[in-house]
Amino acid sequence: MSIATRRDDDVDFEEDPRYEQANREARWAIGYWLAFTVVVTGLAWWLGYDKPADELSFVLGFPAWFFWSVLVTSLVFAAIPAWIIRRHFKDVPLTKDGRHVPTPEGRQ
Amino acid sequence: MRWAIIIPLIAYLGVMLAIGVWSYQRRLQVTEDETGQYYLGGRSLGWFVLVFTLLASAASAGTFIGGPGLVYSGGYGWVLVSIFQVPTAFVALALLGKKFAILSRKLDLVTITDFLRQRYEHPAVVIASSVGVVLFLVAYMVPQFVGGTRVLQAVTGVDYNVLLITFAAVVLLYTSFGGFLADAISDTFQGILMLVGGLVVWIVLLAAIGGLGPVNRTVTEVNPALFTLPGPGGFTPQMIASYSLQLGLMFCVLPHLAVRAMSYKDSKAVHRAMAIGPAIMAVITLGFLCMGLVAHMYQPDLEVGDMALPLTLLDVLPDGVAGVLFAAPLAAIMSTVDSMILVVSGVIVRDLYKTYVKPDLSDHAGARLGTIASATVGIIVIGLALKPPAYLEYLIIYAIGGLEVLLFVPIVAGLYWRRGNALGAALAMVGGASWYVVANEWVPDLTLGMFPIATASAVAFALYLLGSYIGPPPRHEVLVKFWGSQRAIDDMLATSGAARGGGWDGGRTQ
Repeated sequence: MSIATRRDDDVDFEEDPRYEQANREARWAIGYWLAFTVVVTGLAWWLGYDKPADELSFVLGFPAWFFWSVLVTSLVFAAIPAWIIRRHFKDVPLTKDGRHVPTPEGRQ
Repeated sequence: MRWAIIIPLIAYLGVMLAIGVWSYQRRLQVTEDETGQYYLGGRSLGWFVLVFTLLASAASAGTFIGGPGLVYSGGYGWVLVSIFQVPTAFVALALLGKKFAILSRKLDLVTITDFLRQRYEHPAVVIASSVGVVLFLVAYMVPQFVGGTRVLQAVTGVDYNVLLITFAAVVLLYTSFGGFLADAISDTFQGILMLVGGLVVWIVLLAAIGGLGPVNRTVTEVNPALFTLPGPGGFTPQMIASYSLQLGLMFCVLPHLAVRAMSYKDSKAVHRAMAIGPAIMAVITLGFLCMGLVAHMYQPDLEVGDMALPLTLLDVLPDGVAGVLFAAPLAAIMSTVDSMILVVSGVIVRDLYKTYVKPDLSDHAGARLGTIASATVGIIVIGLALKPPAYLEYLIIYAIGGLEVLLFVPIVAGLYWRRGNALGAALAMVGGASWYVVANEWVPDLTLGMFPIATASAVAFALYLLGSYIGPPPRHEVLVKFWGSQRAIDDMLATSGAARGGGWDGGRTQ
């Protein structure tokens, strides 16, 4: 989507190196969102779409499509960000100049 | 009057006021950057407060009242589409991300309009976003108050007007005086309340009923379609997926959430909040929404679903316990409204008044004016809520969708794509919002069977690309500010800034 980094302008200034990592993390966010959307919608459609009520099977008291596409999927996906963050996100300082120790109160 | 319900609620409001007093005292001790302190709490949030303030601000009357009501009459399909808010905390914080946090420090951004103004440097963009934010958020706050008050009225027997005014006055007081810090800390308290409430409701109701078996038998008798897809809600696959656009991906640009992406302390805080947020949201969403179905056991034939969960709680629980649980929807509403009041106040004071009327507004006067503006916004909302509109959830969804269409493309594309310019942003905002309204109100075919936000966003995105390639690229200064290192920005300011007097930088003049 809009996340592509383009370099059609010639750059004559020093870029902030932290933004490279920020772009990568934003792409992970979109990927994760897309995967969640596709899995939830896909499972619900595949297991439950257009099935009359008397043909539904139940798992633990829930309609099977609901159990798998909503309960299981959301619990699995609730755990995934921790993994993405540990493997792919970086701890960068957020101060103006990118130094690790911020000046007192963060400004002069 | 049911005092056993009223007393826990009064105790809860007392805690909110105490938080307001404490934050106000903290605020009085700060003498530097008072505006930043008022609107952002000095960018100091740790992960715990960050995650709860984000979730509590996102969860609203819809989660507790409108949502279970829709599930009551529309079935499991509504839980399915609501589950798309589970990834929101992670997606919002990672998509705006560290770049947004760093930029907000470098360029001294306090509101999202600050961002748009410095990125696009065009009054049309600033005014379109400011007016949109004020109108849509005020529209959103009204049904929040109305819904919450109606429920409380039904369960306590206290007069609607008395309840509304008490309840709103507390929000007003702690928000106006305590600012962002009061807002964030009360959100944390409220978020914990919602989380615990979500768990307790499950345990208590299912224990009282004896599991889902009896519920399923009842629903099968009453209306078996509640178990099916598309079901009474009409959830086709494309409709389901388009909810994810609205509740998941695009939620992050809502101004009261986007400011939270400027307010955290460091990378560690945001990492933890992103890792834990989805799990908490899953519990809150599933906990309350599924109860909409369970409510059929106790309330077989309600006309309007909104009262399904509250009435069921009253039937099952002793009054005192129910009173504590009713604090949860109250908390959801208050935590959303407080952050919105603050955003609207910020837009009025900083983005409109300071930018166009009084550019030399001092920091101290700005912070003080913030208090007055917040109080005024709150009073206007109360006035509107005293004459309540008809149906809750649709109004909310309309306001949220409208804001998302207006802001998503200009903010996210402006953050990551250098070529994006003012013409693109203006076209995207006007075109996207017009498409949204026309599709929603008059020409439903334009939605292609989805939530109107989907095609409206596609139109906004196309117009953004078109405008950005037709119009001139952003000025060199803008590119340095939004992509350069602090040294590059300082160098540029040293050479050109002296001559230009920093006039382009509304956030920095003091």
